[in-house]
Amino acid sequence: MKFETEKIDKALLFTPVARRLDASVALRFKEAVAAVIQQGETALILDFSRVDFIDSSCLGALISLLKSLSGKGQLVLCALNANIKAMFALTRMDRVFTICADRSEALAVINEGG
Amino acid sequence: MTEHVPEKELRLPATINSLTTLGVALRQFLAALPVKENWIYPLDLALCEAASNIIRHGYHDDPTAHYRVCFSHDDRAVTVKLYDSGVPVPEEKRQPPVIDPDAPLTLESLSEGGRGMQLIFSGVDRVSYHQGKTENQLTLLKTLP
Repeated sequence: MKFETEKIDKALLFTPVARRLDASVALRFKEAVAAVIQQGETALILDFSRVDFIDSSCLGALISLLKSLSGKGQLVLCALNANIKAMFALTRMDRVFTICADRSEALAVINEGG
Repeated sequence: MTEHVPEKELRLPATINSLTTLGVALRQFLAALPVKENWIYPLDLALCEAASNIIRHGYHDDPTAHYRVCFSHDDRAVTVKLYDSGVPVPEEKRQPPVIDPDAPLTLESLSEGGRGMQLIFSGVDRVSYHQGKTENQLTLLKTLP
């Protein structure tokens, strides 16, 4: 599984390059993001523009990552397709995560976060 | 045609890596049908969650074990049947989970897991489970648009 990262100001954009984020890659995904958090990144944007499908294990990984920030950082999701958004709504995770339409909006949210 | 005729059957190892193969196979099977992504996705997700449960809870990730998946359709619905010989799904988990949409959500109280059954039941129109003497059968049926 490949990832792309890009630092823009204080935000780290993390883009999984995989069409499917299912249980077969959820652990690797979580460990990769957790590694950048451990390196001190506290303003993270996860860009899902390359992802078509996620399952509940990926959702669990995202919850774990949000918890690991312990309120001391920001985790913003962006570029979720309509079906993934519907899954977030169904599981009420749209109320837990900050979800933006695209990178620009996500960067604005991070910058507003101080 | 109203009879469900098996059109494609897979035998997969009980490893989490088989999920990708399964998803690809489902989409190949559906390619000939007039369904859009917003119809396919919930079925794909339900199947992925169901297979994950078989692999993790039924077989405890035993790579020597296998499960079978059979896709079929008629003019009204697509049916996916999963067969395994692992630990059966507990009876209390064979019904749709009761979700309180107004229950308070706090990050601390959120579980990382436990959403699979919700996604299975919400993604298809009918879920049935049969615990046989030697084999379990989970059937997912989704009505065509």
